Amino acid sequence: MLKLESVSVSFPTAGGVIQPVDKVSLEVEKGGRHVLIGETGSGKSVLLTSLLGLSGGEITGHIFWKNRELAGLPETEYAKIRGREIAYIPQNGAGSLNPLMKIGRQIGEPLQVHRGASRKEALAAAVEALRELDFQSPEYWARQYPHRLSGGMRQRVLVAMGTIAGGELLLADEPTKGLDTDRREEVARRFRQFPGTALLCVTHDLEFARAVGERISVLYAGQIVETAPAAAFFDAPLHPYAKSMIRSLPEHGFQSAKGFAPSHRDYGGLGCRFAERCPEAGDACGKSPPLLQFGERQVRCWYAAGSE
Amino acid sequence: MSGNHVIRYGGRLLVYALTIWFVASFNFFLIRFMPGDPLEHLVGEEDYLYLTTAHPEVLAELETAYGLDGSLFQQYRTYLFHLARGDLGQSYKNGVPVLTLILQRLARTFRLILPAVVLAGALGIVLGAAAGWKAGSRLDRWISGISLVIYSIPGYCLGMLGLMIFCFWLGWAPTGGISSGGLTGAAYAKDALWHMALPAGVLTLSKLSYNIPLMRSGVLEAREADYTLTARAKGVRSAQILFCHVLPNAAVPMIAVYTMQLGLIVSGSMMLERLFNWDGMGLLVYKAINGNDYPVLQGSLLVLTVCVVLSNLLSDVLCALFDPRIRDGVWDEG
Repeated sequence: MLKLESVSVSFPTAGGVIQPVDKVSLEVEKGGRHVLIGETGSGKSVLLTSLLGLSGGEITGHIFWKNRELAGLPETEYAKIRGREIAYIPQNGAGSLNPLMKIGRQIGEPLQVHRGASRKEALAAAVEALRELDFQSPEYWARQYPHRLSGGMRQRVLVAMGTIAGGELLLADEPTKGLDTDRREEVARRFRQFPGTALLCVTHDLEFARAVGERISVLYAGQIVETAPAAAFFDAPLHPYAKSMIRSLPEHGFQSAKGFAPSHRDYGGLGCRFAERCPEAGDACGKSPPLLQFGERQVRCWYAAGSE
Repeated sequence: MSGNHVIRYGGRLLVYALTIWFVASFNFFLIRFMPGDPLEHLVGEEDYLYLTTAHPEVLAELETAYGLDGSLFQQYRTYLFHLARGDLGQSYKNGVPVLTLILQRLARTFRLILPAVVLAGALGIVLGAAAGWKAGSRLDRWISGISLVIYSIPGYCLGMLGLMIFCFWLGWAPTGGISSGGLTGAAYAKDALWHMALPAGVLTLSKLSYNIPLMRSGVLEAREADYTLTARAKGVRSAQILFCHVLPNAAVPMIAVYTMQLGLIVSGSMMLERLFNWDGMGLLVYKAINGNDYPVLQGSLLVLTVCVVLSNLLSDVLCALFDPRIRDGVWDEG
């Protein structure tokens, strides 16, 4: 349904061209739920906005949506797809909603744009959407401005807004950011239940990824380092970075990898980007490893075969 | 309107009232606490020396006339009492009540300022928004470039340039003044406009060069904001993004600064009024300074303070009408 073939995104900056997303390939099937795990700066948000043609970066490679190439699509054509076929749930922050527009109107906006709904119809639908997302007195909240919402409410508003026009693919950017545990579970439950909607979700919340994902990809320094079915991945990750992530979970004693991911400017080197922090690094790591296929899984590590 | 609102707006109004009271008191004490007899400052050094020796009885009369007799407290009470009735005293130069003088000049100044401010506001919003929306384009470079050049020229320089070009070289504009006098009806209106065009044009340009970058940066910021990305991701078309999401958000800081400008502009156009011999508030203050006309100067200071306070009040009210966050007294908590 959505197929990325070697997608790179680059931006010109004063210090030269940076490439926060480097040759990412992945596929989301109809109704499938794919979770992309990556830390801040790994390029995951840029990847999502690039799929919508909104990152402003230069895209190379192919983005196929229902066998149609999206990369380089004219803006007016792209706008017809956004919010209708491919919906987006932005990162949950105070700035993600227009502070001067009432919530109901913002939620209903996709219906006005794509379905030619009147303002009144859109508002009524927005109220319904809020009701379905467990808002008490949705009519009241639809008339409020965003600053009155709590973080959890805002999250639900963003979900309502993203799903109101009934897209076939939902892109979600860190949907559990800033939420407490109860809310996170609630969001996970909700994300498993969108009927007939495929999901591509980026997060650094491993618990959430486990609860929602059918397939998992791990993004490190702009590259996918591992893609695997969720169960197999959480059972036994193959890439050393993925292993270190799993080890950093509370039940494994918070043991995270030493050091920090390289910055965008330092991607240029030839070797494996994780080698510096990798406990298993060896002689081969001076050369950049390709994604190696192991059955259903792909791993970007020269030594992955041995650890399987 | 909740109790919270009452407290916040009440507090704001109180601050404004205190500001006016403070300036009024400053006026009062400044003259009395300067070294020497306050009368000396009021009538001027030479006249004062002459009167002390030749006509002390005249000085005593003046003391009563200016409320300088009695204890300091009595004087202060009388002063505030007169103020409350709108009595700002008389001009030392011609005996005209200061308030009458000021109101007349204020009207003339507004005749110059209002069209300039309205025009600079409207054009500033349109040009600034265009530059910000198409930031980095050729249009943006032209608009921003020209506005920066004008911005870096002081207002009086711009006025002199205007005079040189339109008055001396082209002969299109009068050298100054408000009207030619002796005209009525349509001829008067035409003549008044003719006199107004150049100074108002110069003022418009200099305010415009301030408004354009202000609006531009507001639009640029709103264009790159997360909520604009959200709107785009919903499939909202460009024009709608601009008018429903970007412009309203860019307008908030614009409204705040623009209305506050109004108060400052009344006093800030002194150079321009002097240059074009426009007999308004600025020129009144200028002449009062040169002529040691203390009552007029004090009255002007007070009235200008009131203008600034009123424009701040207007700014508060407009921003609150426009932005629900300001109504609720909250800003982004991140």
